[in-house]
Amino acid sequence: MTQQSIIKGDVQQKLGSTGFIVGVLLWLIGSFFITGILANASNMQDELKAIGEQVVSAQTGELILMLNIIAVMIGMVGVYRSVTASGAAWARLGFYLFLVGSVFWALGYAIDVAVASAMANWLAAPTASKEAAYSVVAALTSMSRGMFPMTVVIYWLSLIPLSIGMVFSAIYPRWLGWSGLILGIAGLSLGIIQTFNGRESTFNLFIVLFSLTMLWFLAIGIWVARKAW
Amino acid sequence: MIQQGIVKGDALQKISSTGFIVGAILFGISGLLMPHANNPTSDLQEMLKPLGEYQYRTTISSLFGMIGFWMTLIGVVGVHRSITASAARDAVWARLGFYFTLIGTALWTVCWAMDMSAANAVANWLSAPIDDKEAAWSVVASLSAFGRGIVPTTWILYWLALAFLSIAIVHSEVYPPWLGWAGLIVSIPMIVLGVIQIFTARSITLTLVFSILMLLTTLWDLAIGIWVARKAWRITRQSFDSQSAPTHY
Repeated sequence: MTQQSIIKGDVQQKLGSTGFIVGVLLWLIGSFFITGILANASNMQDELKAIGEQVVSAQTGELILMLNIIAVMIGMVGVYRSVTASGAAWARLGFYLFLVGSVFWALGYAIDVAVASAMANWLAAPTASKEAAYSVVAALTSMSRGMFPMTVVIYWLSLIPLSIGMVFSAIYPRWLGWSGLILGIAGLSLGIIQTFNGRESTFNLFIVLFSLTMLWFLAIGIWVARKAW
Repeated sequence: MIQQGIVKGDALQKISSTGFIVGAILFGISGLLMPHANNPTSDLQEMLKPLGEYQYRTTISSLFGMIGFWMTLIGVVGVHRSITASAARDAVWARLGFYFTLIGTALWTVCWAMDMSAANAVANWLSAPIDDKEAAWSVVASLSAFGRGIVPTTWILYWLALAFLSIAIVHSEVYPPWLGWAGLIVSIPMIVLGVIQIFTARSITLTLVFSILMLLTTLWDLAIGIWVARKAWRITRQSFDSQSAPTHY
């Protein structure tokens, strides 16, 4: 099989680049919603309360962030399909892990939607039912406590073989592959740390990592768009 | 790469058509078995009670539903592999549809597993002594709250996959375009329903709309399964004659 490369007019690559760019835009919009809600919250309790008070904005934000993951996945299909000779095995492995990571993200956002709704129920519950309503919130946040680090581990783990595939291929500039590899290793390490310590203490680091990863996706999107369009 | 189409005797297409047909049958059985409240109600406890009262029916129904989605995935593999004009947009949409079906099927598996857990939790709640009722209910409420988030997410992703596949079918020269249009007509309202369900609590009306759209999806699975089966399993007159010709010793 010959190296496919990126051919001008290739529908897959056009869709892929659009996926990356739209995905990053959706991330910006979704983050705007979520940041607006959490702006004045200083701890986890305040964050949950703010989410319950602005449940529609929170759920809109979560929905948009989930669409971000979908769009980025469409982009990653393009990367996977473009590397067909040198580095193809790495790209394939990375893509399959990326699929699993996307499933985990979808589950994570599903929990977040449920937390927002449960928090709103807790705030609206009469005093006698407050405790029972809060037990639901506690159960969901506990579920999130386990799910979140696993999502970080698997999602950024997938970037490692994908980036190796990009480095080995003659298609993408090497700096794109190397920067993806660095992000992948950083994310994997952060996920492992969060598995043991929870996400609260390292959440700012996670936001930096997520933002850099989105910039990386944007860079790939623009680079591919310049070739494919 | 040329358009592969559906070749008579192609093992993948035979398996694919079987997957669609068996999947549709399992969805039908699952839908019939799934217990539901006799009277329309918005009370969560009344809505969930039948799941625990008929725990084994719920579990079997969930199992059939879960296997139904796995079988449909097998069917989708066939659609994905039959549209292979690699530079054309139809193959691209088919590929995206297949990958999203993988994700959607994984989410459906979690949903059905949740239903099985919910049936068990509701049964425990119903049989719990008065003192333990509240604690037992909190487990049910937590599972139900998780379902509140995962169910619409699954609808959006799974039917987005179906929409992508339908676009591929419309553009391809392999399948009749009406199959693709029908798939699009079913999937778009389901995605909209998923978005609505994210913002609103579970209700009888939404469940009813879902049931109708799920029934239409099942009919679509059945239609594509039968259509592929007729192509892949068809015995031509010539091959029939060669099979049934008298042997002269």
